[in-house]
Amino acid sequence: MLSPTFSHLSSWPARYVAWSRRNIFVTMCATGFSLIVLAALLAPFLGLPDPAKIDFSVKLLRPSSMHWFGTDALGRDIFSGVVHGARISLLVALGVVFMAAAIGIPIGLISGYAGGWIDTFFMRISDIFLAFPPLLLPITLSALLGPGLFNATCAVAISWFPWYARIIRSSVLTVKSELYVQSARAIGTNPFSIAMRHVLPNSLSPVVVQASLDFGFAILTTASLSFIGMGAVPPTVEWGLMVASSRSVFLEYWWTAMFPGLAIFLTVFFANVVVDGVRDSLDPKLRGQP
Amino acid sequence: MTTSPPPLRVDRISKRYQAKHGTVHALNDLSFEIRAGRSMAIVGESGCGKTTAAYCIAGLQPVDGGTVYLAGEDFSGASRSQQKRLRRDFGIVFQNPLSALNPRMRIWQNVAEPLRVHEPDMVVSNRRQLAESMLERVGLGRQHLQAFPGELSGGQLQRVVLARALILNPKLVILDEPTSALDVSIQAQVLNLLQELRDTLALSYLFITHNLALVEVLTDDVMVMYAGSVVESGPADVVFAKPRHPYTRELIQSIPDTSPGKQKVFRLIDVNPVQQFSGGGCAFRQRCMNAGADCSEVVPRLELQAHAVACLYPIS
Amino acid sequence: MTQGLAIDNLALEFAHGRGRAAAVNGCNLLVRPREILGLVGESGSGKSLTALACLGLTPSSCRVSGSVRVNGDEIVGACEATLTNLRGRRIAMIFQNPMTALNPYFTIGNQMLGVIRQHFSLDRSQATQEAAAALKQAGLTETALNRYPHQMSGGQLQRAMIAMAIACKPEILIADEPTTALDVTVQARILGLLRSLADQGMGILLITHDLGVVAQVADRVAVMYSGSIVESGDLNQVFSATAHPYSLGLMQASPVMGMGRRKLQAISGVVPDFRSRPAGCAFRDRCTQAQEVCALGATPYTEISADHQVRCHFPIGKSQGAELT
Repeated sequence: MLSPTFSHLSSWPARYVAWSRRNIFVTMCATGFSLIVLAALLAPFLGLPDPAKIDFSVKLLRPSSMHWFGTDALGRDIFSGVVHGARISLLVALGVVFMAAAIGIPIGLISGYAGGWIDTFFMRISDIFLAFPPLLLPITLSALLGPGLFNATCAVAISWFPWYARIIRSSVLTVKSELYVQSARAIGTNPFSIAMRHVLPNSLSPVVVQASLDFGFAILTTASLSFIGMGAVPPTVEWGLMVASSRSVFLEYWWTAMFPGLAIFLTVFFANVVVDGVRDSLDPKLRGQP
Repeated sequence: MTTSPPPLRVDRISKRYQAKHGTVHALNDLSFEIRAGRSMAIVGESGCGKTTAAYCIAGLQPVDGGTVYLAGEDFSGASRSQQKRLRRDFGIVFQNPLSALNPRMRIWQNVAEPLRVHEPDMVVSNRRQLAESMLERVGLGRQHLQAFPGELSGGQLQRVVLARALILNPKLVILDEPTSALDVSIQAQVLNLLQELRDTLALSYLFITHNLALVEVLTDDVMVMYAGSVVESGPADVVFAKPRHPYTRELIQSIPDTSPGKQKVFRLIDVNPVQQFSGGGCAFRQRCMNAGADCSEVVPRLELQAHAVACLYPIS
Repeated sequence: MTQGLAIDNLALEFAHGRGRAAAVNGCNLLVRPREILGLVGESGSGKSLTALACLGLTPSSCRVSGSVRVNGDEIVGACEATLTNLRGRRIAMIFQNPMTALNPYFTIGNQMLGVIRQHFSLDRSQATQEAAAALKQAGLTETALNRYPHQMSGGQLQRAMIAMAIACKPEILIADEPTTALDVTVQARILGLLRSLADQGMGILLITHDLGVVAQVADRVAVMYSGSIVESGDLNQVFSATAHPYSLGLMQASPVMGMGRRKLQAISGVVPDFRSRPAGCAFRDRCTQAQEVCALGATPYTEISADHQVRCHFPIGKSQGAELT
């Protein structure tokens, strides 16, 4: 997307500026997302009050210059909670996506490349996983593994790996029959080498797309798990947990649910828009083509 | 005095596969030889088996019968490691140059791939150097080394594929419709390059094509295939000047040439050669104007002579 | 009112990073009834876009200017309703790959009836009769009505596509590389079919990259390079007295039987991308006889004879006719 129409501009910054001008909405969302990431990175250094500190003397205060987002039922500063929660949520989302891909990609690659009974075996297993309603499996696994954010991450990753396995398998099936794979075979390349050098790199792009889209869903799912008590437990500060703990009071004290909820919404939204907008530039196959 | 074995000898290879309506004989006892310094073309229309032959000879598909000998050694029956050693002796160029190159590897990496596989001890910089000089040989400048396949045109890409096929200095190059996907003016450039390389590097070509006009540009001998069998073979100029098989004659007469005004009229039906053939005898009989009663019982055999034909009623 | 397909000054522009560029730049063509006009060009010439413009099917990012008239009815700028009435009924198109141009889920008959009943208010049995007649004209039997595309060979599918295109008896047929994907023996028969259609009154615009195809079946020829027509006229005149260096180059680069091991005459260089076309004549970077004036402004058209025009400052003289064999 970058090269052909802007090849007359010499430097990277110039091209980037030109691209941003044509895609204002994506750029705005990218800025928003960067702010969230920045918040996550800088959270401990911003001099914010301890988000887990309980102080009943300041409970349920409206948003003010002292507490920008107000305080919750236990007197914890909500702004601090949202900023610190960004860390947790982004880390967890990355963890889920990486784990699911790390399990799913090898399985899908082997399945698609080898074919035969190996393929049938893995695909039937993933069919079993895919038959569960979306939240049920993570909940079940979470219950088995016990509470805690790490267990919740594993639970979601294990529930999701079959998607990645399927996606990469269908990619591999197409790539396997491409002429450059035939050429590699004609040259005498051994099958493992063909799989790693030729098949895998050219099958990854749909997986990258799926992983980026899943990022947002991962945040949602872990927040949901925390909401029902399966994920993060106090004193961990996590957005889903914050929404959960506001359940009994948010009708009167709207800020206790509004800000963490908005944080979840905006992060997922920005992530999805940015992924959609940038996706095409990630593919060298489209480089140099209008 | 020992003469070196021919770059390619094919001994009665056949290939079958199962389709809904029965067994399809994609290749029927195909035999031929390409001697050093000579080139052979296989021509025919879609479904005749020429591409299957190329894939079987290149070891990309296993043969169901017969043997392929590369430089005198058994290739089709060899183990994978033995085959790998023999694969140095030939290169292959496919029809679609863009999909014949790994889109995520740079041009020089694509060209150097055979070196990486067969000379694992060679340093990267050496490989790159060889790739560079090979690319120069085929007429591509340094500026293309670092590019990705998506950035080059069809003609340029086919040169890259050719460079890759030649980098190990093989004696045989299999060309599967190398210019069919290219524009006429680019086709001419690539064919000229192929001609020049054949002469300077003393290569033998196995040239698969459906375009008879290109045959004499690159090869000395030709085999005409129909429904998995060879119907006529011999030196290209002789076969085209005096075709003996009705199918060869039909092929030649169908070619539009640039002398305006000639009209070609045919009264034959459209059939797909591989799928429609049923029953015994000659596969061409359903389309043949010369067919006699025994054509449905006897399978004609290819004669053993320089200009051979497989037909019960060849054109004299 | 000019009979047939009249294309005047057709320009097709696309926007890109630096402004607009014309993929087709001032194209003038005339296809008369009972005549086959062969439009020859390679990739990047703009020939397929021109064909799409004749049916109003260019992509929405393309700005169309100029005029395309089918027996007087204007296509450029016409509203969708007018276009729907014209397409199929007055002007029809067949495409390169018959395997993918027909809907695999419906029978041939079903697809043909859909087209026929769109343009004529006939009941099912009347429409079926029309469809059967069109199939017969295209060389197929009635059984094709009940067949699905995957049950037919390439040649039969192309005939089916032709039958579908002629079912409503259009005055103009555009054939975009109709035989490129077919075997050479099948090609000969399809070309024969197109010739007989023209003899019965249709005007055909045959688009191809193959000079041999044009020589075999066309009455007139136009050669297109990088968006404009560089040479056009009566077939015999253009072939025997080729005037444009590109047309001559194409003829010399086309392999013919019996030429033996002679080297082909290639044209050096590549077709320029329409967004970065050089000023003046688009062919000058590859032309062996280009001079300074070729870079200045629009190249004028020269009349070589009554039905032979060329767009060149230095057309090849009559004494240097094309060598064909």
